[in-house]
Amino acid sequence: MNVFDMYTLGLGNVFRWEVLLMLLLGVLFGLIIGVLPGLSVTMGIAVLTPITFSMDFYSAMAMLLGCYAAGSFGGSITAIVANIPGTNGAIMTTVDGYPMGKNGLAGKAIGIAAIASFVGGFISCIVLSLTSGTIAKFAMDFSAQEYFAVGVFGLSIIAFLSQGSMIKALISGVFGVLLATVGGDAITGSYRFTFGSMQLMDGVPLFPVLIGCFGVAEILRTVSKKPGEIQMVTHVDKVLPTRKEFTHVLPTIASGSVIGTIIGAIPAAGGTIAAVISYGVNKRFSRNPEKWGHGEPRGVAAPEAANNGACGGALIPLLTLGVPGDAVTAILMSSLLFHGVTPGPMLFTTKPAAVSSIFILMFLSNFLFVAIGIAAAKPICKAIRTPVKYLIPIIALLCCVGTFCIKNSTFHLVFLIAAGVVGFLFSKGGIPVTPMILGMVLGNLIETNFRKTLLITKGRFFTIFTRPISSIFMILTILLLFMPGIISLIRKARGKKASATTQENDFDNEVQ
Amino acid sequence: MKKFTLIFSGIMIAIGVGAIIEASRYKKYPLSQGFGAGFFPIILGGVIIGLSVILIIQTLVKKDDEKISGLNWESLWRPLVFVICMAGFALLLKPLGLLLNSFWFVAVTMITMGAKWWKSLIIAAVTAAVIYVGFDVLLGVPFPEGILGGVL
Repeated sequence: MNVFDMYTLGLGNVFRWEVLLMLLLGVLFGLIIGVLPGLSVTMGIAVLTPITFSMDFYSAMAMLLGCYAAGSFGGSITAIVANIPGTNGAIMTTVDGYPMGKNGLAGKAIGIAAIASFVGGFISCIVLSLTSGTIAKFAMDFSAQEYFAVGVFGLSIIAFLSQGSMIKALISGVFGVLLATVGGDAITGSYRFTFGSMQLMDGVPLFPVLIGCFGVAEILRTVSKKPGEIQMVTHVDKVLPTRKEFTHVLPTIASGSVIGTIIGAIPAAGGTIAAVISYGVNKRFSRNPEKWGHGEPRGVAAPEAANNGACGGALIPLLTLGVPGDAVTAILMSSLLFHGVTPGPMLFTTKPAAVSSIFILMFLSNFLFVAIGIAAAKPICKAIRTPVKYLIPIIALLCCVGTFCIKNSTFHLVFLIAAGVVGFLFSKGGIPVTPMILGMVLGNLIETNFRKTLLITKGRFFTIFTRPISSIFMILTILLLFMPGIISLIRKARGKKASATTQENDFDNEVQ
Repeated sequence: MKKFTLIFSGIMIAIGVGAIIEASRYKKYPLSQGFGAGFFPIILGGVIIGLSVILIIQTLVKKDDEKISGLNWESLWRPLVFVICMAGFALLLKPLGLLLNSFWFVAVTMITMGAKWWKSLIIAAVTAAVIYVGFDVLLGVPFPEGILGGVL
């Protein structure tokens, strides 16, 4: 099947009223979730996921991808008018966005953020659709060794990039892999860690744990804080930038989009890191960096283009290798699997319509959120003032009802509550929960391919280093795991050298 | 933070030991089956124990100790009420049904959040009705009917 046929098939599946309606609802929900401080895109997608179970694949993907793309943009509005990043990816937008708002340019800042997010998202979609087929073809030659190496590398890079202690992140990730071993063993068929429970024979249910860790835990975190009064910029006027203003920010948008797409494709890097790097790089190469931080429009464009560029980028490893790079793509992967679509290189040959539909939906999401974001900037700003005391109980109810819907089982609600409490306590103790979820998602892939490798090589595991791709990933994994230790040793050695030199100089001075 | 990390490490070591003991009961090394069902969990248990020991050493060696914010009664009572309400929702779903269960859940949690009681009751009633129509009627999810089964 050629690319044209693939897209024709995708267009037929996407351009149906129910799919477009779900896309619109997903975009609206994503915008609201993104705008409301304290509610993340991950939480929004976690809450939406069980609702999409009763839909067909295309409607479900429309809703989830719409929420994903729009939520990443929505966070910027709160950053501009209230100096609070609505989502983590909008952290850098506050730096110049809020000063612009205070200078009476809130509308312009929102307009620039919307256009930058749109261009970032659009370019990343183009890269996604152009490169993923080639990457998938390349990945077709992967055997058990390569898949094991990619899975372990994915977990390690997530632990490496997690904030705080890497050891805590690694424990969280390995614990997630251990949870994935509960239930039937894929190779021998025997049951593990079920302790006689019929319900555990299918394993630890992933969706209740996902909704618990990202939905309930966030609810518990929000209600544990004292609600504060939000200081807002109330004047939002002309939203669309003039041609001159647009030309001024265009190069920044272009570079931010490229940075976002590349960073997004790296597992675990995500929109926040992309936004920070894009802001830093663009400021570094700016002719007048002193203006940045005081309401410079390019300071809004750079992070916004990057954090939406990361959305399309993050889908590349998910669709081509079946390896999710962050929490959102882990949820998306689970949804794909629920609808019988297994991400990975074979997806491009077995389900080309599903792949092209995902690409088209990502493109459409970008058009929709930019249109709604620009047209409805003023009412969206008002939504920021909605008190969380009215929203949180409704979201908590949606988490419970949605979890029950998965298998009509109250047993799943037990997992939801337990995962919520664990997620809440983990966050208090600085233990990242995302590695655990990715461990659960990747656990089966890692274990099955690890044991297949041992079977193929008759127990000689180290043959994994004789194959070029698997050896590259394994070496990178080892480097990632030992890099913090090596860096601190080098720093200590340098520190000792420096102090020794200072002492020598002091001694020389005393002698003189 | 130190105390929390040490407790966490202790729990993780217990989980690792438990995993090894339980997985040791499964067949481990029949090469023809690709290193049995217990082989991988035993490795994971060992890795968890090893990492937890490293974490304990790191924590004990560390001189400064960060304080965990928000681990006091004032900031924990609301999350606790939410968890109890969720457990109550799970327990009462069958006897009460979706509509009534959603109503009390939203009303109680909203009042806990500091909303006025009459506003909470109105929003809870509307939310319960919307959830019931959306999930039970439109999406056709077979929720337990509960005590209103004969009426609805």
